[in-house]
Amino acid sequence: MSQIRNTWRLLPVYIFLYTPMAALVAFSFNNSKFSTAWKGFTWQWYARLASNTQLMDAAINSLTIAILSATIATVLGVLLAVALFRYRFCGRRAVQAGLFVVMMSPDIVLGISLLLLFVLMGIRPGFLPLLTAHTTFCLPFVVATVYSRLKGFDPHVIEAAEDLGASEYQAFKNVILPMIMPAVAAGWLLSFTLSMDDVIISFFMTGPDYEVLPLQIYSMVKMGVKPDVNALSTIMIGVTVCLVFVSQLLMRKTK
Amino acid sequence: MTGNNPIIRLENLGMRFDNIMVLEELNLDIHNGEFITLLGPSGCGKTTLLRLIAGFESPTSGTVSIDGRIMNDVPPNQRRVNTVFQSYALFPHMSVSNNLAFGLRMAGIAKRERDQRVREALAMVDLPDMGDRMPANLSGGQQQRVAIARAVINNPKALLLDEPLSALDAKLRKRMQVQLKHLCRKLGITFVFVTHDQQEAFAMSDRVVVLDNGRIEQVGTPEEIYEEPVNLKVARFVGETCILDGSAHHWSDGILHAIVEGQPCQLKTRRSFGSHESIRVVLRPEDMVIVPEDDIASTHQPRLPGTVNETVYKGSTWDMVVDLDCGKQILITEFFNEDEDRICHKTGDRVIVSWFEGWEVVLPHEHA
Repeated sequence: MSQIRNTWRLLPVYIFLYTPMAALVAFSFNNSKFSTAWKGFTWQWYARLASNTQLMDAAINSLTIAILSATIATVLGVLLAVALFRYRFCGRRAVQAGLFVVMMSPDIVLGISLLLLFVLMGIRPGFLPLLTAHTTFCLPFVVATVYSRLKGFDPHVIEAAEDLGASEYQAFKNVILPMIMPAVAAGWLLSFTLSMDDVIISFFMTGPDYEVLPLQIYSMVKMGVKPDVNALSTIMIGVTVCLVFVSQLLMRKTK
Repeated sequence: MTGNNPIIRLENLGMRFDNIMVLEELNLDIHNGEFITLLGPSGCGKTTLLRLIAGFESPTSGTVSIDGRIMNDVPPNQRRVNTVFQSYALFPHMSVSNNLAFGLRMAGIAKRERDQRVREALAMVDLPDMGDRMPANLSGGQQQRVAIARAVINNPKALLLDEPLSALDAKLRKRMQVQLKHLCRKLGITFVFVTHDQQEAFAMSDRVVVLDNGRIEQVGTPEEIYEEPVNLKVARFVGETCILDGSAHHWSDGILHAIVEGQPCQLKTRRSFGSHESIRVVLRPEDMVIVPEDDIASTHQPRLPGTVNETVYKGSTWDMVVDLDCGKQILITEFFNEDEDRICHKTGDRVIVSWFEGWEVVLPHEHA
């Protein structure tokens, strides 16, 4: 009973949070090109979206970058987190601080600095700089997620593995990795989402021959919000909800 | 296996953490098949010593040898010793069987033999049907036994136990003490047990090593440690003590003529003392004899007058706190004797306190 009442009390919060998205989803089905008035239900914006090859290419590019950068960042991030957790080496604190700097620094600064780096190295904007940049800004988030999970463990568990004859690699494979798996998955999903919706850093990294979705949408919106952008955004909301659901499920399953 | 060679030998072992001395000039031989306990207050370096043997730390000086081989640079996974951790450290993502099989799997033992040995180990620790459970679904005592089985299954040269019973309740603890002792005898494996609990150490061990401030104070059987402590520190650490002051007169043939708390008496001691040397007489509560003030039994023993301050009924014993006239407060334990009609002393009674002849330990005076 009191639970229901609490839900009601939270209603304003939910309204505040979700009204914009609900409006967006609703208008993606609105059978009117310009008007904000409801003119009936239609799938046509979704159909038109499917035939917009430019947008579809950008979407595929975005997915490719997101999956690749999330994977690379996760692999590097896990190794780094385990190294930071297990070993006391010279410069350990510096690495930790450095990760924080990357995490906290404004995207625009990161974007410009990466652009500068690639220009200096003579690499043209496109796939490789984009992938590198996305991996860079995802990495600290993976390290933070995995490191906090490692810190929650009994450190003796890893010692026990070594004590029972496991080499460094065997201990990592058989004990550490299975135990941090939920955090690894969460780190991957987080990276994927971060990469998917990044505009600012991507802005500096993309060239004319390699467009990504958020930038494509951005340039479309410059000429007014078209209903197919609504449709596209609705799909992205759907994907995000699914990902959040999966990550929550993963975290719950293994405490 | 030659009986005289120690299974573990520690030579001049020293350990520092950030320039703080944790262990100093430590020498110890641990023999094959014995149950040896490292006893000491928290922070005395006993866990560090265990971790040095296991290989989790490397010593700043000296050597650790296992089975005649110097082990300083050998990582823990290549040492034939296994550890039972205080927190058990079971792998939470593996079933009990997989936890047990882990060491065998790492050693590359075939699955059939592995399964067989896991079954045997589970039976040994009395958990035959628990193989498929996850550690989180076991009670503390069961987890404890899984941890022991997981270590023992690898047939180590020595089993290192780091306060493994400290998380169990008193009753279970007593039972596990007996089981561990049995296990040690049955398997013939050397047990190196770490504890800060003196009773636990005495209940289980063949030998006890008393550690304090990173040094070995005394090594000996529980009886030796309790009855003949080498110094006041050990005496105080391994049980209640009554310490009386005195001064030596002359020593001959194991008999020391001395004045204790103003009373002339003869003390039995193998140590020789010079005349007028300050001494301390260490007695245990159960060494004491207490009689009413008007008792006039003739005895060589000194008679120290005092007043009963408090009496505590303990079931099998009466404990009494007596304020001696010399200003000291001592604890006396009297065992009930069915045949004898002992007079029960009450608070405020005037009494004479003495001790059984020859039960005293005489130590030089030290500021400890």
